[in-house]
Amino acid sequence: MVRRALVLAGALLIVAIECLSSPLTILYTNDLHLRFERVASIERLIAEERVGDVPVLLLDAGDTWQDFRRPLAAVWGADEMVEWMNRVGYNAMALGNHDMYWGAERLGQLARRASFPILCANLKPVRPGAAPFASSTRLDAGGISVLLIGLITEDLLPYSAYPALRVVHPSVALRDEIARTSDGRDLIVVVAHLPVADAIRVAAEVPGIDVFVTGHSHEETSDPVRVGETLIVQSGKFGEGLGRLAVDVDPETGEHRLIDNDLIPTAKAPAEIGRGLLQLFRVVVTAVAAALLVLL
Amino acid sequence: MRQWGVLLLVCFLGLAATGAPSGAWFGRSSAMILLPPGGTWIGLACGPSGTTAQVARGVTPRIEVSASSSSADLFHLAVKVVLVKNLVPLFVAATLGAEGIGVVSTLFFGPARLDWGRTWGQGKCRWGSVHLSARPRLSMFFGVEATKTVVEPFAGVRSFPSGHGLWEIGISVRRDGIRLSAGGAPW
Repeated sequence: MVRRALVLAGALLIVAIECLSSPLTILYTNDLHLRFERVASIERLIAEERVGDVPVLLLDAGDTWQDFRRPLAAVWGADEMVEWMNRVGYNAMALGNHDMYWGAERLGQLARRASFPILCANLKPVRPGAAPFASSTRLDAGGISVLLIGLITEDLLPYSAYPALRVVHPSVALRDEIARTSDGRDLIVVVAHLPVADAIRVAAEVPGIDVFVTGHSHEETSDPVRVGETLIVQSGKFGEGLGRLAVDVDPETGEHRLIDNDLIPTAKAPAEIGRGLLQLFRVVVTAVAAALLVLL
Repeated sequence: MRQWGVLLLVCFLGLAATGAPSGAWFGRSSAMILLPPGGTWIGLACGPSGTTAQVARGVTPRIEVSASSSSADLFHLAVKVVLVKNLVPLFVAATLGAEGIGVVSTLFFGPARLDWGRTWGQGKCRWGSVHLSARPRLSMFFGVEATKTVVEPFAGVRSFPSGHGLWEIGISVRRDGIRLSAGGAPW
């Protein structure tokens, strides 16, 4: 009799927990590097995920708008990529080191065109208006208060082209940002252009992070890396996979429980990048003319 | 950290006041204008051939003016106009100063930057350099400058004690000796 009562109580407790918590799906990309041949497939997968009632967050962990290894896309692709991200409804993007290779003025233009916030908490402007990005943003996902905070790696940043930005250690910046903005009931999601190894260090140093979406190192995490309660994920590179993390979240406390994590493979499709030919031709001709002017 | 910058600046100013010979070299600029309109940069450099003080100001996103003073050239005014800047990664600028008319081109690849240029007129020369800035507090450059008679390599290091690029100290080496520089943007 007592045994039955205990089983019933346990079942009721599970049902109660399920009723109290809300499901949330986080879709994530990183290091797309202007790979337009994958975006149609990613867009299709995103649309499929949004069919249900479960709220969906769509995040990108940076290095999306520039890649000089793709010269045809590098000279024009950023605007196109921003438009695509606007269209599919990204909620936020972390600033990546490659995204800064446009230079401060152009990065500002791209950030203004984006309908979603560009996040980076560990590059601090030392003059007002020097940063075309925010440290964090808060949004509501089906009743869940989500605090999104951005971070960037210190590797390969174009420091001399951004003289009015000061680099702060990611853990210090993150701790400050959480203390400044979190009300203790948020689901804290860090969107970071940081390798998984760095994210592990930061998660060990800064308590309270629920999810860490990472990038830069082109790693795939088929199972999330766990540091305490923190789930660390990354979806590889070049849009080859769309990351999908499903969690149950208690809207009252922001506490989460992992349901599932997938890396959904994407398909390649022919992409129209021929329009870059004329612009690339202009760049090459002008560079050669400038070089000849010096040499002759 | 800023105090260290100010202290170094005062030291350089002191050195200048002692009457060191003039003609120091600041390093070649790029075709990019990093100062916002209204932003001012001041700097001082000293080396075997003397001490030079320089002030530069961003006028518009495409125009920067600079004035420098040394014992060899008491007042030197120069203007840099960015002609091409949206042809990423290429920037091209024209310069006009007492030493002549010049052109500077920059290929900006993020942490690596390639600059090359030429001046026609009194200070006729050609030069090219590579600038690497992959660490927050340090960047380095090396290059070569050719005048009618001499081809001279140079190299240097810039350090940013405050952790940002608004204030810096630098050291550069050429065949005739070492040059030191300090400067910043107090706007």
